[in-house]
Amino acid sequence: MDFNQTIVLSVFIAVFAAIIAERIDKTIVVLLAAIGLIATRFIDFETAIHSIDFSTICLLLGMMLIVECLRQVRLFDWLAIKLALITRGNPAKIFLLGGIATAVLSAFLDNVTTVLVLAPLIISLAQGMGLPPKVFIFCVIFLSNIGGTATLIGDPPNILIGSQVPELTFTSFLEFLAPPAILSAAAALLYLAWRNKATIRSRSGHFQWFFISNLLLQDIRRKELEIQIPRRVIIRSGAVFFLVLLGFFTHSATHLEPPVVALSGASLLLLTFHKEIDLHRLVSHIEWPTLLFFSGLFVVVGAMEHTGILELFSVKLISMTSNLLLLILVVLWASAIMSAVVDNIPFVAVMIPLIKDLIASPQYSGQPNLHLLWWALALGACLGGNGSMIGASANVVTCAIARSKGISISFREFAVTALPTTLITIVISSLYLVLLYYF
Amino acid sequence: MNEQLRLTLNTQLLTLDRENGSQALSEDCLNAIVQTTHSYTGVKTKSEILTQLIELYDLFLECHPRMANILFDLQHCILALQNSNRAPEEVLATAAAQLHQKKIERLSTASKYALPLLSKGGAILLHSYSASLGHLLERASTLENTPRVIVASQKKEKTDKIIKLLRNLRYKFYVVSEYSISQVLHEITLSIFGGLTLNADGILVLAPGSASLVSQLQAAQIPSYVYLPTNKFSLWQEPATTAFKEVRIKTLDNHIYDKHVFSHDQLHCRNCNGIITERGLLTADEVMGVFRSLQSKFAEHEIAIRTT
Repeated sequence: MDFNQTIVLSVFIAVFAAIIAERIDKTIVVLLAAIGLIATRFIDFETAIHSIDFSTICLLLGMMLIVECLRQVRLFDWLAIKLALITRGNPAKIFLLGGIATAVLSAFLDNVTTVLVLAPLIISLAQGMGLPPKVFIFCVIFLSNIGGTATLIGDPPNILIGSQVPELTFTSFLEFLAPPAILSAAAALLYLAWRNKATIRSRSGHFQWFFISNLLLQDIRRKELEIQIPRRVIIRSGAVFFLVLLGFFTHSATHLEPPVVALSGASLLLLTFHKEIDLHRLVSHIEWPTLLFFSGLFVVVGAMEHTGILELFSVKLISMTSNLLLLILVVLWASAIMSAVVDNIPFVAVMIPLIKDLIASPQYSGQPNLHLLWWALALGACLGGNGSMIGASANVVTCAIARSKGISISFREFAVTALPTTLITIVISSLYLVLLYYF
Repeated sequence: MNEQLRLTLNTQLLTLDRENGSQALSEDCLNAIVQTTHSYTGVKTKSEILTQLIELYDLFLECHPRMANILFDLQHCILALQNSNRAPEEVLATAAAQLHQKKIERLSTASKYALPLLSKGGAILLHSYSASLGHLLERASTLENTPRVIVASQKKEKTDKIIKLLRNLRYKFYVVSEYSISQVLHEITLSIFGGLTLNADGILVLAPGSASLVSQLQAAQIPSYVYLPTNKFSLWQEPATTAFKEVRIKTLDNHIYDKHVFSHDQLHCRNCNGIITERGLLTADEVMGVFRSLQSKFAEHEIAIRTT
């Protein structure tokens, strides 16, 4: 390893360490590292700009605009109230439908938005009925990460992979990742339900508790009347969202890239609701720090690629084993472990060029199952996020929402439930990948 | 008594009272009783439902502050069920409809007595959101000389509800922080507060922040009225607690201290100019007279519901 490579690798390790330490915001850390590498000519400005994957940035921006627009027209409030009414105050239904709704929403919206919409409602329902709320909180967290695994737009690691590997379409993500995501969701729900049988049992046989549930439902009905979203808002936003999904699904026929579809959907929504929304407020709610974080990270990873570190790593990785199945499982488990302990975005950003090198190497060329490496990376990075309290943004945000409602979840308490759940889902993913490999 | 059950109910009652007002809360409780009886999967005989309702009644009795109007509704439901041989769901649905009708009549009569106060124009101060006050404002919006409204703001959601109501009824209004009404006292001609209950010792239970506003208004000789139909009177001999007290642990510079948070304010009825009821606009002495006259019949009901 030469001097340049040593310095750039040290910068990357320092960035990783600073992100873990959480003393300084990760966006600031990554931006400082990127600017530092450019200023010291470890990567020139032109190459740095070319390293930024604007496809990922635009896809993220498009989805953020769609979400914010739908939030401003109060579609999410309406959805949350409808969900609450469907549960009819039955703890098992709150648990099951809450979990399913979280998984489905997470598959098509970002996980943080999903938990911001559903977690306060589900926690309030549980608390209002005097139910121990933690099982419902864990359900929202785990299912948001699992649901996000199923699609190209569900979780940032998938957005990164989908944007940087053009041959992986929205449909192929769904085809290969939805089955393990559905199985994992079912397994996680069953495991949580088994551990909390008493909590989620129906209360319709206990008059007083049942009265409390019904009283809460009366209030939700009142709120439903107060929200009064015009029917046209629901129909129009639903129609545009359907068009966006259609755009993602028909990519191979229309050749419209996912970011183009997302930004088109966002523009159409802005036009549809230009009278209802406040554009300046909407734009101010976009997560600019996240977009900056991605941009800075692309420059840091670009510097690693430019100086040849990633090539060095891929050569080492290839020399370790010629067994592709073993490599697939190593990628899956390593991604899961890394995602549980550190931010999965930098890890995935580094792994993408590495896997590209692996696939292009003569040792593996021509093998039919090389695409499984991508699915292993996506499954490991997304599902591994459930492994610890800091494993994914959705975990941190939901725990903060819980804390604001007087529910404190310790790191250890989280781990006790999260580790078995994560283990179950990674074992399911391993079996799934083995099956795909052989059949 | 299941303490967790009581605490959950108490917390929910306080939240719903804070968000929607006690009138709406009592409506919600009635609907919840009907719904619960309808979908209850336990034994649904008359005696079993009566036992369950009495247990619920006892649970409400232990809540702080005691919400008299809900307890009266429950009493009415229990007595109706005792005196009927029809199916419990049917009896309770009829009882709820009757109570709902009575509430509307009560509000309508009380508003009729309060309207002359508002017909002089000027500016009225409102603080807490309540369906009863909403009813009065609706009636007053058709007056020739509609008053302006000054809203003493408190929590955003509650203030937003008053604003929406005033906007819908096309009132002229502005909002001022509840801490700053001293700056606008010269504009206020009248103030009306929604009340939760009245205890046997003459103590009114009001939304938090109301008592200090009334004190300021009284010092400035601005009339203050409390809107409290008689079904909200706590007719028990012993005065009930006037608030739910919560002790929150707070820290400042590594020092831990307790913060005592009370759900409601208390104010003696002598400290306001009158109580708006369906029996008229009553002074403190008059209201206590009505209170005592209602107590004997109430005591009979209390005994009757225990003789199941």
